[in-house]
Amino acid sequence: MTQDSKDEEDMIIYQRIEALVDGELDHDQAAQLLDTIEKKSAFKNYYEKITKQNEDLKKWWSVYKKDH
Amino acid sequence: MFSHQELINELPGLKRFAHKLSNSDADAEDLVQTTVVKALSNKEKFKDGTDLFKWGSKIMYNTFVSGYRRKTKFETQYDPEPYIEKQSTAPKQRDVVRLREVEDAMQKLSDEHNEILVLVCVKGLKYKRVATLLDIPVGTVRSRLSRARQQLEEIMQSGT
Repeated sequence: MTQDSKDEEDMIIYQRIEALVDGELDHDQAAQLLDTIEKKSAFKNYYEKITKQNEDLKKWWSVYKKDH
Repeated sequence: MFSHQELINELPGLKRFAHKLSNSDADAEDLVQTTVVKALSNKEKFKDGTDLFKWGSKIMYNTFVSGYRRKTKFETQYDPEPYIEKQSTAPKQRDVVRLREVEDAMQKLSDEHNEILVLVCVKGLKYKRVATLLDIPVGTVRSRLSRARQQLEEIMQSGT
């Protein structure tokens, strides 16, 4: 596998991680992706980062935008 | 039907799956408890020969993914904001600084990026629904959302 195709493959996984956090995957897709995430710390870090970002945005909205 | 013992036998696997999903000991524990309660109350729907772990983990995944969205939909009909407000608690002191950074960064984002983050990450709308609302393809929702997330992160890190 070339570096380019590996990068492309990783890019797809990062996009799927976002879809997972946003609840867009079905159970089987999620279970398979979670196994992939566990195998690479960069994927795990990204999953945690996106999850935290979503939590921050929800808190931000509830604190700053409640009167809007 | 399955016996209680059979469900107990699946608990280690369900706990691991809950931890993978939630990344938190406390949330994983809550998720397992909710799943067990749901599994037991839907026992009669379990068909013999079905993989009990897979059946249970589907209940767990649906609980994890759609819990917030479903509550939002049912409790607020079309306006999730009262629900979001109800769920919010006064932020801890260390969160205050972080939330101020988010506020600053969101103000610096383009309207397009701000809008898509609110629709998906705050209000929990599905990509398809957002595509319809904004009259853009689902692929554009994905890519715009991804860029918005990246921009938000970059602005927060640079502090500018």
